[in-house]
Amino acid sequence: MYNQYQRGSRMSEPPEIITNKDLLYLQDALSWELLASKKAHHFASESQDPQIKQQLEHLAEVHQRHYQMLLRHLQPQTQQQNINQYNQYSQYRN
Amino acid sequence: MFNQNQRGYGNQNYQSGYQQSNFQQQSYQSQNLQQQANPMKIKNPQTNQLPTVKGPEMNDRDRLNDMLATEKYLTDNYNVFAREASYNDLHKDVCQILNQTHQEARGLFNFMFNKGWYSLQAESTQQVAQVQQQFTNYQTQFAQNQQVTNSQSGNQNYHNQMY
Repeated sequence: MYNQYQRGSRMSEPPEIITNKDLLYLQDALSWELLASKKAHHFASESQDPQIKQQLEHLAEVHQRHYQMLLRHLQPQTQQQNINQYNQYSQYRN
Repeated sequence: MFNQNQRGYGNQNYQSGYQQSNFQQQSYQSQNLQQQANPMKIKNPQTNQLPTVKGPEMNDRDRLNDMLATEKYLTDNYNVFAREASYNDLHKDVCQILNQTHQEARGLFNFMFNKGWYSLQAESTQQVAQVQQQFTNYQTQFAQNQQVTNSQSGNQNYHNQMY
């Protein structure tokens, strides 16, 4: 992913650094997924129909999976490493 | 290919209408009136799972509807998130979630349609023909005019058969 940091060259795409906006959206999306998963699970427990129960439990799982996909982006150490690398690159460039 | 299939389907409808009457225009009008009086519903019979007298408590249909509304809300918002994400890996993951959420919304809709909780209404053949004609004619406005005249003449042949 650090191909974009080539000596004397411009970045071809934004570095893998979470921006303030990214973090706000990730926070939002994580809470949507958590709520959706909990709600689906709750509804599943309320229904008597096995087919509907199954459909709702499936949704609870899908939203939990999405939650985990998003959570993987929040790695403080990776964030720090990528910031350091970017700083080195930008000093070198100037 | 998709268009051709659609055309083939339309053609059959037209021809059956054509054969029913010597006065084609009149036949279309009467057909249309019939459809307006009794619009064609597309739906499954309802399974008798819901309480006949509905109280304030949530039933299965309410629960599925609520989840469908949730999926719809998520697709709207993930679309914005996907557009605004900064680095590529984040954009890709959000796109994947967006796509999967669409599939879940679709799955729920099909599930509810299967239960008979959704009814659709077919548009009349005449209305479809009118809009098709209108936007076929608009094709002259494209810069690539050579292709347009080709496909247009094809469509005109098709219409000559019908009217």
